[in-house]
Amino acid sequence: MSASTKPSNEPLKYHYMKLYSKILFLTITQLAAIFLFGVYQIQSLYLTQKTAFDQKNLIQSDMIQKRFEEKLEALQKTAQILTNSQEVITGIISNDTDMLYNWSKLFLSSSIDKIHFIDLDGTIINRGESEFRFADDVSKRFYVQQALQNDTFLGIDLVDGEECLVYAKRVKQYGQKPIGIISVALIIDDALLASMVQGTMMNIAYHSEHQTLATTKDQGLINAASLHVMLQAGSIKEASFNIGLTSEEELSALKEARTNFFIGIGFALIILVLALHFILLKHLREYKALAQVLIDFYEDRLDIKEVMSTIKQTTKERTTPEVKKIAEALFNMSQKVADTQNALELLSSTDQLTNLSNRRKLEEYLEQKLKESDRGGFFCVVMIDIDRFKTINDTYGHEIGDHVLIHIAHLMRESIRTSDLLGRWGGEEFLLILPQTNLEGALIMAEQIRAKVYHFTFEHYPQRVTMSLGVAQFHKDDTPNSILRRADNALYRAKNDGRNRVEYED
Amino acid sequence: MEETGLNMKIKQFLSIVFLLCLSLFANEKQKLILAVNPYKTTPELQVLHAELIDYLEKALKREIVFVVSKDYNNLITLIEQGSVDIASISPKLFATLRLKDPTIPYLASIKFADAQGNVRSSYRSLIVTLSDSSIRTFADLKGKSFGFTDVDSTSGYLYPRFMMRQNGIDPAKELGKIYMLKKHPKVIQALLEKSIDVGALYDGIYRGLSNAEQKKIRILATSEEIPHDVMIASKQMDEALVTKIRALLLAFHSTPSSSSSIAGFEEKSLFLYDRLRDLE
Repeated sequence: MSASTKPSNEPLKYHYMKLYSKILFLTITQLAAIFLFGVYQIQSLYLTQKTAFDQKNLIQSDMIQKRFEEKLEALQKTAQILTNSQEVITGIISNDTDMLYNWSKLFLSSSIDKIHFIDLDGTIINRGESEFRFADDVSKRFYVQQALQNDTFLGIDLVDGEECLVYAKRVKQYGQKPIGIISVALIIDDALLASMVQGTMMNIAYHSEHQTLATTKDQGLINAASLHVMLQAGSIKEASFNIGLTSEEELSALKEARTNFFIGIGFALIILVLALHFILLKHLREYKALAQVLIDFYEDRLDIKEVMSTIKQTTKERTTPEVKKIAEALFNMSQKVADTQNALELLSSTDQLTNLSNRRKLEEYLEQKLKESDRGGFFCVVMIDIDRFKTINDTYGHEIGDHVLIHIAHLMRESIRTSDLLGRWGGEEFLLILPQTNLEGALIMAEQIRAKVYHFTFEHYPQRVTMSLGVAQFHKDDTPNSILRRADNALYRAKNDGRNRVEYED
Repeated sequence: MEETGLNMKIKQFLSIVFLLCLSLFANEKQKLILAVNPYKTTPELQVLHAELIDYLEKALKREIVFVVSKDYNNLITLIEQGSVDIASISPKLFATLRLKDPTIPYLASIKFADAQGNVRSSYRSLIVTLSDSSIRTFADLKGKSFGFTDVDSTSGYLYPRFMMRQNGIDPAKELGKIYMLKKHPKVIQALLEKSIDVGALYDGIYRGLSNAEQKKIRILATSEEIPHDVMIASKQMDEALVTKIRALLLAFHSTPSSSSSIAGFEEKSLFLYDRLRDLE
């Protein structure tokens, strides 16, 4: 018994932990799956948006690139038109500033800021943008030298102290004889940069050794890319155009949403797991308490009554409905078990025929009374035997014999007190135990019984039935045998002295 | 505008037909023919001469037919043929005519009112530089950049070059860069912008400048008088009539209100015209 008792608590704890882990694991797995799915969804949304965003940027970059190329083309076209004009050629040859001015001012526009006619010495004959300013020497300028040497120059250079996109072309009379240069220029300024990125989300920055211009005040472009410019190397060092975004506002909103989602889901996950943990603990603790009651029961630490009262207590406490239901079921079951136990007990201590206590019960009770005598209890026993009962059986049959037994038992039971115990000792012999009763009381009681039976008329037995009774009083150091022997001796004397009488042995 | 042009052509055609008729009936001297160069549109020229014609018609008691010649050469031909009686021609043309025939009758030089309301029969060419310029003499012009107006301009091109040659400078070789600025006021602007070192222009432009502007400009040289247009008569015309018409012209004064007309007449030395032949 003890070998099976000890480890019994551990499997419970083990199962309890296992259940806890299982539920927690399953729930976390499901939550994690949902979380991962959410992450996957938002991430793919983000990627889709980012692709669209990048695509838009690419298109806008191309657009800016194209605008830039258009600016260069406008410069070249204008120079081409002017070099093809005979009047311009005549004007250059004859230093006719007025005629050249009239021509050049027609071509000045938002895409062309400066038109200069320069003679072969590098002296300006006319400026379209400044009617009266001419005759100054620009022969040292890089773009002038390049145009004189290589026929054309397309690049960035200082024109009248301003950094410009310049196209310079050598003018030839009759397509052969060089007579001068036309330079067409566009100032690189904020207005130019603004016009290039107009209507786009992009920003452009120009950087050279002399200046840094940008369409945005914030430094630093995101995803900056160099504008692909087909320009000759000019005299301006490190001149470059960069385009890019100053902010990924559109994207950052999405990024923020993504982060918020992740944090939110993460928080929810943690809170859910914690909540689950505590709910599980609470439920399992209640289950465990119930289980413990049952364990205590089968390990005999509690009897069924205590089990019932504990469970009853549990149902009264503030518990979860499920546990309450289980407790109620257990309570009902315990009730049944208790009832069955009572019935069995009754059955095992009762004589089937007379419904009186059987010999086992009588012996138990006698034993108990002897124990109680240690604490000052006293009692008497009465051994009762029906006189000539064999003759009844033999003459009238067992059925009538049983009838007599049943009625005598009934008669005797009517005579005794509730604290007294009357039982069938065997055959036609009965034993009566009278607690807290002295010899005198016992003799009165025995006599009452004898008289009652003597005067009773049986339904199916026509003759008078008598009984002999032997009374014994408890003595110190009595054993069940010693006191019963004395009662038996008294009974024997009653039989010998004529039956139907009460005798006692002191 | 087209209509005006057409009208003008018809008028010219009719005039020529009429002149031919006149030559057939030479004895018929009732009308005088006044011809002018086509240096402006016909309506403008009519307005310019209206007061004068009215004055002459009243004084001579003869009708005056106003004719605008087809071109410069056409006018010379008409004068030589005697098809026109009196004509107004440019000083340079007069100089050319006198080269062919020095006896061509000179009536008077025309006086115009300038922008300031001054009535002048002549103008001058100026060679100008900035007041603070180091250029003081003609010799200083060597290698200096020069702003002319137009190759056909007397005051803006021909006379200044003549003055330079007279003072020992060859404008074709010894000057620095030469720029053609067409408009006379542009010479002043270019000078103030220091685009050119020296420039040449008509003196009326200089006089029209504000005092402050004038102070910034220094006149390096002033040409002789350059007379305005002249009135000449046909050689066929009666000498007495020539004298009479000359007297009438010299006595003519326009009403001050009409600024866009001939202001009056003045007699000038014929040398001033002959001089123009030397310019180029």
